[in-house]
Amino acid sequence: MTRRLVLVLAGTALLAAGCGGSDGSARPTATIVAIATPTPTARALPTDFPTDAPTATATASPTEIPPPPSATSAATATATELPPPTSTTSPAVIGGAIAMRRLTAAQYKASIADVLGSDIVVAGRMEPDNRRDGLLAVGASYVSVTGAGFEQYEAIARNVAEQALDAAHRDALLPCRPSGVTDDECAAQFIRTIGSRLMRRPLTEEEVAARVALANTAATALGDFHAGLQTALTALLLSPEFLFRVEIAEPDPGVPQRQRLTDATMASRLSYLLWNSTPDAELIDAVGRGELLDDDGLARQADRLLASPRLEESVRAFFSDLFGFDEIEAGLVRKDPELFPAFSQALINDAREQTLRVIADHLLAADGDYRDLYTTRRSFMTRTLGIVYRVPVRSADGWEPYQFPADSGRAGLLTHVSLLALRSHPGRSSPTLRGKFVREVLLCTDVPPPPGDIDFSMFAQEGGENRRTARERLTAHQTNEVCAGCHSLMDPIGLGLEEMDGIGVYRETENGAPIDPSGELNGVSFGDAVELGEVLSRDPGLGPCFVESLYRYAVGRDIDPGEWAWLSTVESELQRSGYHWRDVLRTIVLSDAFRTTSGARIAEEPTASPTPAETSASSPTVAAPTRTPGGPQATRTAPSSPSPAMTPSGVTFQQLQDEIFGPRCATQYCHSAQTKSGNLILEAGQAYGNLVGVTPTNPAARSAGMRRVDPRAPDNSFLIVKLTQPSSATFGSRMPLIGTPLSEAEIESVRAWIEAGAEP
Amino acid sequence: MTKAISRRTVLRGMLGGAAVSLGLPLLDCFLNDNGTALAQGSPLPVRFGTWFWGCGMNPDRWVPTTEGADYELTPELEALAPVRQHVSVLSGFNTVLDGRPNLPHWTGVMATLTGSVPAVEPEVPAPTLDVLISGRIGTTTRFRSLEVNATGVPGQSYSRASESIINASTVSPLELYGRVFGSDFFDPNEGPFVPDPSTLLRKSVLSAVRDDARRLEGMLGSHDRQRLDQYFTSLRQLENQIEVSLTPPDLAACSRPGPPKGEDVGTDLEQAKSTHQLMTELLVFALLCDQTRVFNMLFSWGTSELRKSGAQTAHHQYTHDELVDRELGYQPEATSFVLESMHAWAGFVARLAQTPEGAGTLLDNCLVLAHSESSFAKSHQVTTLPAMIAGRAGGRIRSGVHIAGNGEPVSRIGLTVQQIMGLPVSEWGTRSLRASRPISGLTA
Repeated sequence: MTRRLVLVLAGTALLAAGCGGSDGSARPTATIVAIATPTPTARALPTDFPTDAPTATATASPTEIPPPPSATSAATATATELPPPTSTTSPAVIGGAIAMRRLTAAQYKASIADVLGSDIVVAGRMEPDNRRDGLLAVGASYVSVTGAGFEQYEAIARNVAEQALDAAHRDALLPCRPSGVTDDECAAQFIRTIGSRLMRRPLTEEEVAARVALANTAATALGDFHAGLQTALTALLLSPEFLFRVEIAEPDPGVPQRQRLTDATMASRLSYLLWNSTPDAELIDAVGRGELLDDDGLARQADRLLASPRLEESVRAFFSDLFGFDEIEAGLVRKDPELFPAFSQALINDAREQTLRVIADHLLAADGDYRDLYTTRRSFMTRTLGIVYRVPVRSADGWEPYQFPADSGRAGLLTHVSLLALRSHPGRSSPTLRGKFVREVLLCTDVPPPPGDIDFSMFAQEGGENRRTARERLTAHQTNEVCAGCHSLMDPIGLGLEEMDGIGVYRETENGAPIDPSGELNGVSFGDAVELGEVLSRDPGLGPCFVESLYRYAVGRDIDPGEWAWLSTVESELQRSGYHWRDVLRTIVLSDAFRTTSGARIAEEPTASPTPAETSASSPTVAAPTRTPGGPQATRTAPSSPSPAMTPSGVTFQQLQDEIFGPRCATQYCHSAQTKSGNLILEAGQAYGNLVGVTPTNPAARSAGMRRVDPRAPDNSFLIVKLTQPSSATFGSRMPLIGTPLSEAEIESVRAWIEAGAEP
Repeated sequence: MTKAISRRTVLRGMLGGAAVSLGLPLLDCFLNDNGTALAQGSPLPVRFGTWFWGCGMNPDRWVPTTEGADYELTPELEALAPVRQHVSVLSGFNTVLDGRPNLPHWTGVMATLTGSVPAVEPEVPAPTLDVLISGRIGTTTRFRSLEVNATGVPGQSYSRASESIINASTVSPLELYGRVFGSDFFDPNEGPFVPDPSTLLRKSVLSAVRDDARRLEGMLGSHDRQRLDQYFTSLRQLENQIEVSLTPPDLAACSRPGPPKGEDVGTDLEQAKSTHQLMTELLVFALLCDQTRVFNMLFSWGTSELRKSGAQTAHHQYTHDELVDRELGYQPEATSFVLESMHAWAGFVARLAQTPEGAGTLLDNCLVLAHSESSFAKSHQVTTLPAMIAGRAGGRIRSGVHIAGNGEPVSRIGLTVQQIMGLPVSEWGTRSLRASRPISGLTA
């Protein structure tokens, strides 16, 4: 992850101790891409803004500037000019790479509610969202769908479709009455309307027709028009364009060197960022009029969404992600019932809700400054929470506002049960976890992982006399050189919160010994948790980290080196004007960084060289995408005995077609003309022309200069890869996908045919 | 090879007259009279599984001092006594870092499962063993593989094709039951199989989805095309699942189990043990009914969160914080969890060994690799990693022996396992973990 390594250390212990690895950083130093130096144009451009990323580890994502081949040639290697900025106060910026973003569980549910009705229940587990660079929103742009995940989506889709077309519900969605078991016109209306809302773009007539055909097949089979629509709806819900927010860019007609996001993409970004759901009817109309590509049009829609009560969803979604509340929602926070009898799922649910209410109330209703969240004494309580906070709550059920007195020992988010309980163990509190949270999540500081070769035998301590409180137990973390470098970043903060136990209950002693909650944060002392909150709220890193986290959340990826200059300017501005939610969002949404891109994200390279699967007959070594053209090396051993039908020396293409390509590949659901799996037909009469000399669609194979079949060069033939390599993300599934795998003899026959010249 | 083609059957006229033809997978699932093989002479399927426990062991109390079949059971292997003839113990195999950091509770398990050492956490340098093996043997069963755990956290699974492609665990026995033995499951004892027309419609839906989604390919960059490719692979997996459910296997040993009566999921030791037991029961039936041939069972996570009721500290924390008892010579609490883990493993092996299948037992047709992410967890040691292999893999391996690795790369285990499972691999792993010699003492 890209973090600014702003470390305030007592000494050089960090580097000397080799904390976390040979270079002291947690992430590999990826190649720092040369950033296009903006050339001042005749217009007013700031001439002194920074061109390097600040001292930091480089991004983990291999985004490249200039844009990929789809851009115009003017934007490739030779271009070093950035277009003039839209605002004279802010440096010019082109947003980083785009990638499709899988809907989170919350977004999926919200989208269903908005399109099909809020009474639809989305039941069942979905594939877990993936946290990357600290955010689920970033992980969403890297994940795909696993087999088990697809299974889950299909079950949910069938169930949702059933509810939607249920007799009690269908009238809300269906604008027409069918004239019979099939009714093309009525079905098309439904599919066009619902389909465009689900896919977040208008469907082509061809797409509508295909789904009407599906609906008709089902309707005929089941004798029921609505069952047919249910089937079509299920298919829509499984479309990658529903499950993923596909982001598309196009050349900017006004500024040829750069790519701008399309209006449909902008609508999706705006809507999911500000309302955490799919674009509403008005936003869709705005897209139809091309409004979102225009500065004023975009501002109008942004302001409309910002003014709506639905804006609260943005607060809830962002902070839930940032604080890791998904663990709470999934029921994964567990505490020992003997040690913490007051703990229950109901308690932690209330605690989560409390934190989100406090934040929404402060940032939206009060239009407060983000930094004050760490000092505010305003809160909300339920009776369940009152028990743990030890405050009286009048209402038997439901929420009521509560203000902590000045001497209560509680103020600000760090004293919230949600955060304290989440960052503790099932059996006790954890100063290290709490301190790590503040450093990494709130201050965007990288804390390297522990070194792997710690010799713990040096910590053999005597007796229980000085191990009663956490502070005593963690002494070694502070005094030992190897540990202190990193632990001094975390433990003092967490120790400041020790007066709140593993579920956030207040205490002044532990095991009979008094707790000392004093400490220091970035050189500033504090006496207890309340003072810690005050010190944190004044820390210069707090605001910028918030802006960076919110930006990463908004674009679903880490910050691109080319964006730092602009981001720094934004941060300076907000430091002056205050970190108000609507302001920060508006600034992001209207920025060039949010509206443009350097292009689609390029596939990552594997860290290990691909492990070749080698048959005993031959051993093709497949080139990694980065290897220079020249093809992979191969070593050979003698072939095993071939099947009698095909001797390697005399095998003809006809034999391969009859024995392999026809029966094993060109099956109904695979490489037949009808199905054309992977866009490849291997039926008789077509297979040869689709294989020999043809460039594969697989990007890794393409960039390695392979052909599907390269005559006389089996090691440069992607066909051999598909037949021999284990399934991988790089090369796709091993073939044949279904049925008996090819024998070594059969594979050797294919190789031999290629070797001999791949004659027709 | 040619026999596979002639055995194709086509079903027509399933959907009320609309001509729909299905190419059925090349799968024959009727036992022959001896019970030793399926009809037409193919032997009973060999299954592969992993069984993972976190935070290793105490090397000087776990590693046997003698090799071969008569090795002496050490204190931490005593739990294996009733099943020792079914289990081979592998000790002394190392992870070699080649200058990369030893990522705590990550490097060791990645080395074992991928043959490579990651540069950062949570990098997955290559697809894990089970993904490679299920790619080969998992395409003809309903489920390509089944991941289950006893910890209750879905993300706790080491079955990964890459950093972003994680095969999450099913964490609830009731959920596992519904998934495997729900409405899509055919119990051969419940009368003749009648395909459900709505199942065929599910196939049509997936075809339509697939065809339509292809339009997207041309609009995406290379990163997204890879992800879309994975999406298609998963779609095909589900298509396959549905297809297989239309021609269900009819294995003599198969029957639908009763649903689990309640469950208690969590990291309390007793919860883990009871969940593990329920999961094991269901897994046994799933294997007998050929619902899958690859499984991953996780007893505790790498940073084992196993806890005793009322204790402030969990297993992982004990391994670091607990003092070594002067008289015993080890950490009492931490070691108690090692013993519990070995006990749970022995129970798992016993359950498979007690399950009749064909002329022998289910375990005879399995290869289960038990492993951990470290040896001595207190210092995150990744040399002399513990591993055990249970089962005979259809007669292909020797069980009941202790094999000392003497510092050999741990990837030799993964290489050997793949070869036994029939993958055409002669080399596996990268850098110093590149293995090219299988462990000869394991093969029968």
